[in-house]
Amino acid sequence: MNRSMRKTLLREIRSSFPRFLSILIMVALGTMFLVGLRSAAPDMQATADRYFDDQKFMDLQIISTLGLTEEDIETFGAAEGVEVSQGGWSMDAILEQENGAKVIKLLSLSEGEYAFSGERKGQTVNENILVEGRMPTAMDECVAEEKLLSELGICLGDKVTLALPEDMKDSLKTDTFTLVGIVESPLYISIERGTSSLGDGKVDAYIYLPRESFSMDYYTLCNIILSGTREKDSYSDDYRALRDDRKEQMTSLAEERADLRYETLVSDAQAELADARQEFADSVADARQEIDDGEAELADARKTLDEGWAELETAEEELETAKEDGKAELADARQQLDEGWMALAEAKDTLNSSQTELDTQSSEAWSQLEAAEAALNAGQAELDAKREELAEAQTQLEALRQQAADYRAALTLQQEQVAAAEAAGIPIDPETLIYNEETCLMLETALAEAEAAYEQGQTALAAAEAELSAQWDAFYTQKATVIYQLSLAQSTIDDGWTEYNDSYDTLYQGELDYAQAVTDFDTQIADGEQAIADSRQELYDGEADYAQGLLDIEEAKNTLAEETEKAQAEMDDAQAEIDGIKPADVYVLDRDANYGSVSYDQNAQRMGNLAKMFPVIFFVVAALVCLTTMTRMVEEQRTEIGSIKAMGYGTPAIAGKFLLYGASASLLGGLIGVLVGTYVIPWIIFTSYGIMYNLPELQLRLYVPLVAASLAAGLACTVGATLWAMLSTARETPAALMRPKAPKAGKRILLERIGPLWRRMSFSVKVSCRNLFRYKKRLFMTILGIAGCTALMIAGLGLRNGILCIIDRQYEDIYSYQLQVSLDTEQNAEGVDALLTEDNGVRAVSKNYVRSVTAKTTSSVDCYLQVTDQPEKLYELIDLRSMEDGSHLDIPEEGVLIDQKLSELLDVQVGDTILLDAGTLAETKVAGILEHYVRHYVYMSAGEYERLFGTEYVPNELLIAMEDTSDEAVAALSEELLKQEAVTSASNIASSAHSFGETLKVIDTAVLIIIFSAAALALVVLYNLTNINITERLRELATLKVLGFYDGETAMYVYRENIVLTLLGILLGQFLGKYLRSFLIGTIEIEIVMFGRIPEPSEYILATLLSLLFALLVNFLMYFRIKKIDMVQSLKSVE
Amino acid sequence: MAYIELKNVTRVYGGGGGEIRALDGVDFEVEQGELCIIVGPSGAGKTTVLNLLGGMDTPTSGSILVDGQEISDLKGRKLTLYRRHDIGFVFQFYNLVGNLTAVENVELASEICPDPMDAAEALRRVGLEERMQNFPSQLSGGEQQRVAIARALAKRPKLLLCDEPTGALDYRTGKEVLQLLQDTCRKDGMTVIIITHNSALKPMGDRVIQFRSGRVEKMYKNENPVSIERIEW
Repeated sequence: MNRSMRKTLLREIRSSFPRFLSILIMVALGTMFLVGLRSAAPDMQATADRYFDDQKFMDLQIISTLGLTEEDIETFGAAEGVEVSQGGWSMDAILEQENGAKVIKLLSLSEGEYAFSGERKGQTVNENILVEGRMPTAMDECVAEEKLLSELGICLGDKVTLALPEDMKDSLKTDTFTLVGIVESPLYISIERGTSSLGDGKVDAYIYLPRESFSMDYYTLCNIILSGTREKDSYSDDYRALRDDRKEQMTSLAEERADLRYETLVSDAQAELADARQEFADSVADARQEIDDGEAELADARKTLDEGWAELETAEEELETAKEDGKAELADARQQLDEGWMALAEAKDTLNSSQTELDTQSSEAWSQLEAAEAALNAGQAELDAKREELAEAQTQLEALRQQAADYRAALTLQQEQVAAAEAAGIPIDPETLIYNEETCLMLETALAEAEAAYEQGQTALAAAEAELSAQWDAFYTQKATVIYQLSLAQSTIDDGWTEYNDSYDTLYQGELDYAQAVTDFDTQIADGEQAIADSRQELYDGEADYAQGLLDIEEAKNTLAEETEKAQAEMDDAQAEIDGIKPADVYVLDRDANYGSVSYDQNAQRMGNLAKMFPVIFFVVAALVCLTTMTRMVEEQRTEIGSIKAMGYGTPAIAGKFLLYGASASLLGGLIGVLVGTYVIPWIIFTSYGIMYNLPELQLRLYVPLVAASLAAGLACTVGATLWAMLSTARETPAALMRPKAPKAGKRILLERIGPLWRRMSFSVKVSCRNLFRYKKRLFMTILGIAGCTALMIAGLGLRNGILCIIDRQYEDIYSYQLQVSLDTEQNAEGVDALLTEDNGVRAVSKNYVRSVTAKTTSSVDCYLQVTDQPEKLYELIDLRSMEDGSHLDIPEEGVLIDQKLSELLDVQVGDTILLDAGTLAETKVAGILEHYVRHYVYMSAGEYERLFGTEYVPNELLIAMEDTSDEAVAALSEELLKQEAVTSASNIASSAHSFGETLKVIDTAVLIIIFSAAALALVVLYNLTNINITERLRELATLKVLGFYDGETAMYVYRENIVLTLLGILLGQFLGKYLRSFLIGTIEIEIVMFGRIPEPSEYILATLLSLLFALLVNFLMYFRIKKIDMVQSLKSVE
Repeated sequence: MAYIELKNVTRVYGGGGGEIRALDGVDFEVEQGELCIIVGPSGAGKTTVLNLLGGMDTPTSGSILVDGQEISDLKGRKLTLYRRHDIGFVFQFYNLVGNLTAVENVELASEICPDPMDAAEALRRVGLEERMQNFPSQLSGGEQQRVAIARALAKRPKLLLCDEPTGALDYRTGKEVLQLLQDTCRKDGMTVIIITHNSALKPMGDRVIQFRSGRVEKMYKNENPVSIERIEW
């Protein structure tokens, strides 16, 4: 190609950029889908594979119902092709929290993942990714997944306490762990955590513990990494082949080990039981000895007590005697005293009478004495009176003497004084001289008579006195005698009193002594009685103790009996348990048993399936668009081609330009498509799956063959179309080319021949009709384009509905139960039946037998065999309806009902024969085909089952419908049920429906991509065609404008055709969509699921509306183009 | 006041340094019922005048009055309405819609007019009643141009604008078409403006306007227009 050609090409591209762009976009879309959808699955698989390799994800996991020993693990490790074999533990536990209990899957970390100190040692299997925190460094530390923390609202550093089920109680050394890290486990790449026999049957989160935390002496599982698997893609057939080989080998090895384990376990247990029996016997003997000792002790006690009683009696008797004696003694003493007192009283009386007598005598004596005395005293008195008279006479004598003396003295003095006064011559008054000597001599004669009388009286007195004195003497003598006699008598009496008083004192003392004796006696008696009472009490206590002792012994005997019985029962149980130890069931699971891994793969495959169909549609449409576009382009450049040809360029050179034009558009578009397809589409798909899967960054890869093929396909489209368009033009001569191509002649169309109809049509409709048929190629192109777009959308929406409806159809229309309960047929299920009452909100129950079987014709499909002997009850819970007409189908007595998808997979019709492989093979006929969406089911009557397989029908499954279908109510019942021994699992189908629904929601992304691309497709097709339409008729439209057509009218002139074509396209799209839909669904459907087959009107309506919307959008965009048409164009000459 | 009046009309294309003054102060007028011939060499501005008169373009400045209506400041819908009701346009290349028959092509115009001439009548007037149901491809150039004239007339326009109506026709057919236009003017009193580079046609017009370099070089009235039949070129 020379410079000018290159220039022309570039200029051409620039001038017709929208056209170039439309080809580019179409190819880009096609390539994008092809590369994107094709890459998505391998990218996703590669990502998972890389992740599994990085995390040393196990290839196999061996699980034994009896556990695995260290030796087992070593044996596995030594097997050929095994790189790593490591034992581990997995168990379920309950984590009680304020906001409810969570069912936890407890797993052991692998050896190489942590170390309490120093270097990490040992192998790593299923390595967790540490997201935050650290790995455990102590026995009581754990790591858990983020979900646990967020759902329970706990933080790193918090403590969690785990409750293990009864039979696993001692499996852990401690039950409280400190959360030290957040991890992501490769075992759980999906959001599903699996089921458990605890709680509501659903595991909520996982926790990893260091191996040291487990106290079990056996492993519950063994993780195995095979050598040579890492190099292979996890989802490749290569990998599967290698793994399956090894799996087979490991299975037989594991079974061997399991038998050994069984034998060891049984013999160990038996030995242990024997020990236990011996120990028990010993302990019984000990107990018995103890009882005997106790009894002997009691007998001794009895004896002591009896003696005590005897002693007590004696003591009582003695006391009685003492009492009697004491009393008698006291009585004697009393008597003596009383007698004493009586004698004393007599003595007192005697003394008193003696005294009285004496007193009388005395008083008589004294009276005589007194009389004598009185006479004496009277004599005395007479004497005294005489003496007095004498004394008186004396006194008078004295006084007369004195008077005589004084008168003398006074007469002498007067004589002297008269003498002295006569002497002195003093006259003397004779009156003054009183005293005279006559008177003095008369006085002296009286004195001498008185003196003589007095002398006589004195001599009489002396005689009287002498006589009286003699009388006195006699008296005194007499008186003394009397006194003597009296005192003598008194003395006698007084002696009597003394004696009396002495006796009294003696008696009084005796009385005191008696009182003391009485007191002493009472005290003595009281003391004696107290002592007796004390002894009695003591004895009573002794009796009580003795009675207690008896009871104790009795109880000990009873206890011993009970214990013996219990222990016996326990040992019997233990024996039964040993007898009941079943040979181990071993399972060698591969990665397909890991829900996360397998569902991820399925999802990836679904994307891969999508890739099979979609890009084709785009490429077809792209080819068509290219064809029209290039044809138009060639036509536009007729003249130029002619000129160039005339200048001497050969056809290849001329074609080269167009080919290059198409090729560059397709290569550019293809490149964009490859880039977007390789890097964006898988990323979008992976990201939308990211909600459900926990995987590292997507591994984006460029698949060279795929890219090359896509680019080639794009090139083929454009180059092919270009060549096709060029073909006719290139053949023409330059001259012919340089003449304008005769405009397409107007033609009468068929419709005009139908006069009445044609006449009735409006002018503009007529014009449109004619125009429509003028460019037939474009007509078909447009119709096809729109139809394709509509069909794509119908398919996309249909796919979405088909998938989303599964949940409703399966879990609401078909299944009307809420709980599916698995029963252990060897356990008594009475407790379960008791729970299934209306009180517990149970509406209906169906008891069935369910097991996995493989259905075979030329192909074989794993499915569930559902057998019932009470079909009526089953019908209540599962709507068995015909796929064809929705009518109810009964489970036949002979033959089976199978689901639609199964019938398709097996390629059978009603009446055909299928083989069921349930260990034994059985042949049966298909009696009906059911509408069923999730997994495969074969329904069979119990009679047919027993006849076919020769086994007894034993139900092992309960389907339960509840009145209150809320999750809480169902969870409550399921929790109750799980407490029953007979219930091994209970699953709420709402939650399985929910998680299933979550998985399917991802398809929304796919649908969005489909709708988006359908929209892009529609826009490109419509734009392109309308653009060509307008370009071709530019002159015509300009003329119309000059004629005075409004912009709207001008646009309508074009639109009318577009609308008709769009409508026709949509109409055709409905049919195409119907087939595309079922084709798409058929392609994408995975084996275990049937998508909704029946289209919903909404799909068609929505797709139609969307197509219309896109058409309107294009028309709207085109309006501006039409508006911009320069009327001057109409003046130009025809090209 | 004249039926059509252009006053100091200028039309400048482009902008900045590269502007081209297609019309540079044009003044002329045409009376009702006149047949006006606008002549001039290529690039003299005749087509620009035609565009302006035909409502396909608006002047940069100046005023254009058609039947008393100022059309120089019409825009959008009003301009379209002017084209629709007042203007009949005859193109050099006929611009018939190939997919429509002759009568349908006429109807195309009459459909959008408030008071159109019957399409068949219009065709009869141009002498094509026989070829009514023919598609353009089945008609000769002259016949096609006559259909175009019929299409223009069917609207009963105030003004019939013809852009080189004979440009694509041979001499004889060209004459026929011109005759038709002249007749239309004479008989129906239609104001007809014919744009041509053929100076030979000047005698046939009632009024002749000569353009050169975007200006009216000369404008004069023919007191005695010559019938087209007598004009030779």
